[in-house]
Amino acid sequence: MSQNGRGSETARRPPARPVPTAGAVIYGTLALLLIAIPQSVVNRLKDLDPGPVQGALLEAAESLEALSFRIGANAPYRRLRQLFLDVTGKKDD
Amino acid sequence: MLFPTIEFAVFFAIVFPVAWLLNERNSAKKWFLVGASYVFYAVWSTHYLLILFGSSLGNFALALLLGRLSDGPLRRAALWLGIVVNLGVLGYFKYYNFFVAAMMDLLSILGVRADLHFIEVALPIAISFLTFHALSYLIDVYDRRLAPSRSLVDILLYISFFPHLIAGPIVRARIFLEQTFHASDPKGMRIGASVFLILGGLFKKVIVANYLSTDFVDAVFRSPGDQSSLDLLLGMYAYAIQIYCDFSAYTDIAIGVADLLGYRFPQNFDQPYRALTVQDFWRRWHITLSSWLRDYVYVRLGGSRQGQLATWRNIMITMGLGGLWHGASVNFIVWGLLHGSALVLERAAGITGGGADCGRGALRGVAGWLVTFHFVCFTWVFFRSPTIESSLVYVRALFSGVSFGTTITPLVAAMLVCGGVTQIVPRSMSAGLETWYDSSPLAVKVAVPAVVIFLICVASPNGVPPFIYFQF
Repeated sequence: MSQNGRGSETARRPPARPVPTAGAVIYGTLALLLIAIPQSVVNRLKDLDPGPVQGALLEAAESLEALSFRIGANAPYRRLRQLFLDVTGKKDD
Repeated sequence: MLFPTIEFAVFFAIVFPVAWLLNERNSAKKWFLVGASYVFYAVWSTHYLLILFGSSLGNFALALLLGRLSDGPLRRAALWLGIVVNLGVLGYFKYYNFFVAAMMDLLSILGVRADLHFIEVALPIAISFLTFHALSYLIDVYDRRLAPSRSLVDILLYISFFPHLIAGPIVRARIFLEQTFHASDPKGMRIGASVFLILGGLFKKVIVANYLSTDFVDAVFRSPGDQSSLDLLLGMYAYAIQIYCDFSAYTDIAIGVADLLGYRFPQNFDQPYRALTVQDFWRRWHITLSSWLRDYVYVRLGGSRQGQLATWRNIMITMGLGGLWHGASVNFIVWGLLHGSALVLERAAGITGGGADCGRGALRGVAGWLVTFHFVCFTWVFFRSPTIESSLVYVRALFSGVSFGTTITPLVAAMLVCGGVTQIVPRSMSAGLETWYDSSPLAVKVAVPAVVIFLICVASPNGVPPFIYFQF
């Protein structure tokens, strides 16, 4: 990795609207990951102390997880994860 | 809050848009980022927020005083007051028990039985980095290389800015503060470079460093006397890769995150295991610390201006202190002094450069690389071992007989290869990748980080331990 991107300064063409572009990258990435691996958020929320906010967030995350399961969006993750575990001999907690 | 966590993703997803919405009102943006940084720090410790704030406020006031005073003993005294207070706080939390134990050992050797008190206090996270940032500011103001800031928020942000707060890079005051005078220019944002720094950092930490640590290095260093000499040798290499992937991952992500918020941080690593001399290594490893030590310790001790013996002494003091900065342990001091000795030997032998003079002739280059790489790996044994005794057990076992049994797994071997690849990827390749990314359509820009993080999640271990440099 080039740390500071040295050497790319002159060739670099910045996007016309860098902040909206970077925002789209951040939110788009998070949204895709949320739909592809919703169980990560569900599991994390289950680890938090119970409370009204945690409860509401957990409910929303579980709805998303159900949707992801229904449309098969988390199937690639489950299959690839299993493949990785089989190949390396590792186990999930 | 660790970088590779859901919490940080949510935190950054809130901080990023708010910071840029406030960008035209620069002062509001800075106050917001100070607040966000304090929240980031408070996740670990609310108690020590007071130290963070007190240090910023105290150094802000002292720098203003240094700016007003004319040169003379009073001004010098004010600087020393700042140095003593900053190092005093660091010393109290980090080194007090170490020095008490050393004092008791010394007195017992002299036949005096002393019952000195130890303190039970947790080490405030980030205190070493915080102190070096503060000292950089005070000393630069004293040297009149930097005007004292009249803006409290600028100093609060400089010292607490969350990307560098916990484990660097150590950003010089004058480099950071000049970026706080005006609103950030969004056109200066390097999206491609930032995205690849963050993705590369996540891969190095979550995959390479973690698997090397949990599947191999920890066991080798836990009981070095029970390992084969091959495993001890590979353990040395594996730890070298692990600590590089761990630490450079943190600073890569920090640089990328800061860039996305409109602030530029200096480079902190430059493929250090390519170094052809130990001096070259220190130009590539933790660059912001080594240049800090060079400018604020080595040069102030006289550098190389007072003859050969004084130069060697200054190198040894600087490297010894550099070792001690990493922690209150004899191991870190030994590690620093070993590097200092190598630097002195290189000077004595007339090997001063990194690339040019050592690069002459392929054979000389290969020999320089082999010696430097193995010396650096050898010194990591002292850095990683919990005590000096266990370091010596490791070294003795390494050199006593040859046994070729190994516990290394294919996954660990793959991680070693991945770590090795990070040292040989040409800069032109990553620069080309960034240029391609910056000119690609938005869908590709989103898909690349989504797919890479997805694959990292597929191959990630359960739970991510903290970064090694958090303890420093």
